[in-house]
Amino acid sequence: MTRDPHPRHPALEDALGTVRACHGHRALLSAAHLPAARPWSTGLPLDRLSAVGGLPRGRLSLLRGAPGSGKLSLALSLVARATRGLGRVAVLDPRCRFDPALGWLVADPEALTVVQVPPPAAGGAAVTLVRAGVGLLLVLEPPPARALAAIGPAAARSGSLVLATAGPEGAEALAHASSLTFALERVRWLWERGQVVGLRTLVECVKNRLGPAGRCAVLEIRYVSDRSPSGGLPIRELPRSEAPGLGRGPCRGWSAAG
Amino acid sequence: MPRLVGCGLVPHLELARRPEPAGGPVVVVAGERVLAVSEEAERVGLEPGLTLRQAEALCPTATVAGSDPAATARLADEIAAALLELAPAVEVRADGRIWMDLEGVTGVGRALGEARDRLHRLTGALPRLGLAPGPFTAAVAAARARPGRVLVVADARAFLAPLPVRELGLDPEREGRLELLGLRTLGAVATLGPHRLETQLGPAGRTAALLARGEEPLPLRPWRPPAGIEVRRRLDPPVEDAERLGFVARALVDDLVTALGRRGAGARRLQVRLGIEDGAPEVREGAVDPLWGRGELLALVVEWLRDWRPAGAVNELGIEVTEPGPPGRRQLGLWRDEASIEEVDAALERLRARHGPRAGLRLRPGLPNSPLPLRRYRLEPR
Repeated sequence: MTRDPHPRHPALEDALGTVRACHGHRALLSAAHLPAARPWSTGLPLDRLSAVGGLPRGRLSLLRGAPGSGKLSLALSLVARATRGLGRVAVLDPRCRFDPALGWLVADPEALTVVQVPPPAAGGAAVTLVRAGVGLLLVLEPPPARALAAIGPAAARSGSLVLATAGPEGAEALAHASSLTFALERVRWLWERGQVVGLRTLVECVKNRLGPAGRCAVLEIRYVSDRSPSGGLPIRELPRSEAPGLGRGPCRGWSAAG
Repeated sequence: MPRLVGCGLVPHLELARRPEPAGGPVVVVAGERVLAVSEEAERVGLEPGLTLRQAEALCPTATVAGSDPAATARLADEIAAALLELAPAVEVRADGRIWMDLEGVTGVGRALGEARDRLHRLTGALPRLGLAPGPFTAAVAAARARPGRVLVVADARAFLAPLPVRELGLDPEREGRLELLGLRTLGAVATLGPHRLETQLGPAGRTAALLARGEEPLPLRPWRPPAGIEVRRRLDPPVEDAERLGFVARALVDDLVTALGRRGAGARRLQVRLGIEDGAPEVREGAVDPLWGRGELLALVVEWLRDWRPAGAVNELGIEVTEPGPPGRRQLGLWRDEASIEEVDAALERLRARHGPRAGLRLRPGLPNSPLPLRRYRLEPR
């Protein structure tokens, strides 16, 4: 006598049928048919750190770090590159801190929209844009937790890539909602002729829902007047030995790059 | 002229959904004249056209109700909109005759079945149904069907021939003339012919002869959807609490979305009206990028209501799409990339409408060779 490997459970099937009837066939997906992560290749070492080959579309990614750690420079570089690769790109800037002088960074200025709505309306605006399917949305101010709860599912449906920046403290809801979190830690400023011309920063993937976390890289970001051909600031990766003793996770004290 | 017409017969629309005393006769009056009578009232000899005094004399126990033309018109619109999903042309008359042009419709039986269910739901009465080559024959057939059943007529002339001439709906004088001429059935009228009857009865005679022959000279007058779509609700007692108003708005938006869905339309211009107790109504209206989804409409209406400070308690809330437009963006998901751009532009348009021009800024080159980086680019509204 052989046992059915997939015995039927009428009560469970009834319940599943009810869910399907109430919320549509997309409410229930077999694990085997879950969509794979759709990464957007940034052309930066972040692709390697994410373990999926880029920043995942339909998800929230977070850049965290203290002021001066290079998170905004990195985020704006990503925005600048996305204007060429992801269609419509928006920067949600409720505190009006976006500097138009950064326009020279952007590969295609026509594709970039800066949204300066009052802070209380920022969460709703983010949901509206993500629901509409904006290619990349950079959120410069952590939205309220209630809006975050809506941004995640909306992004998953529309395939929008949501990128946020936050300081090292606070914004716990944002960190909790993110699929990918990069922690940035400044290694040192770059000086030339008595002026700051860039910085070296350690970027570490401290949370990753799509692959193993813990990868890190040392990046050199230069504030120069010539943008890189693909848009954004020139960014290059340095050996890990450039940041000895820094890092939080498994890469603390590593001497090799990557 | 359509060659396949369905007709549904229900009681006069003034009687639909009217709380009727169990088994008691009901009379609806407009002014001093009887407009509609229930089946029970009909059994005791009451009929439309009598004066109120005659009706009271014939049936002192009848419940007399005043007519409500606005509610009747709303119900007629509701019925027509519901049936327009099943047939390309629909005519609804207040006396309870409803026609659907079914020429070219696939699955006529299914369409009629669905029409029966919808009429039952909307009027509370099981309709009698007729299916014939024209509206007149279909109505005559429906009158002979049992409630909820269909009487199908293939040969209109043969079907009409034995029926009495009163089916033509002529005035008593002309009916008397036919009687004098010895024409008692539609078959006899048909034999006489339109020209000869016209010389006796005028243009009505010609029409009567053609009807009797099943040639259907009277076309359907198709219902045209009203330009705007409005939903409203009386609030009794009046409401002062914005949260409660939001709940009512939620229900109204559901109705509005259903109405837009029936029309296959979106909203280009939206108006929210608050009826104020002891005061003039307050209105807010705005152009919106074509909206059709419940969430989008609700978000907009709730946002308007949240900032509203009405002068008094609100006794009516109305939401009207004053300018319907194409639904738009429903199938854009099929062409994802272009769709995203269009949808994002639409979303930005909405944000600008709500929060002003700074909700959508773009980078424009300023002085590209300026030594000051701040002057090289500037932000300006899209």
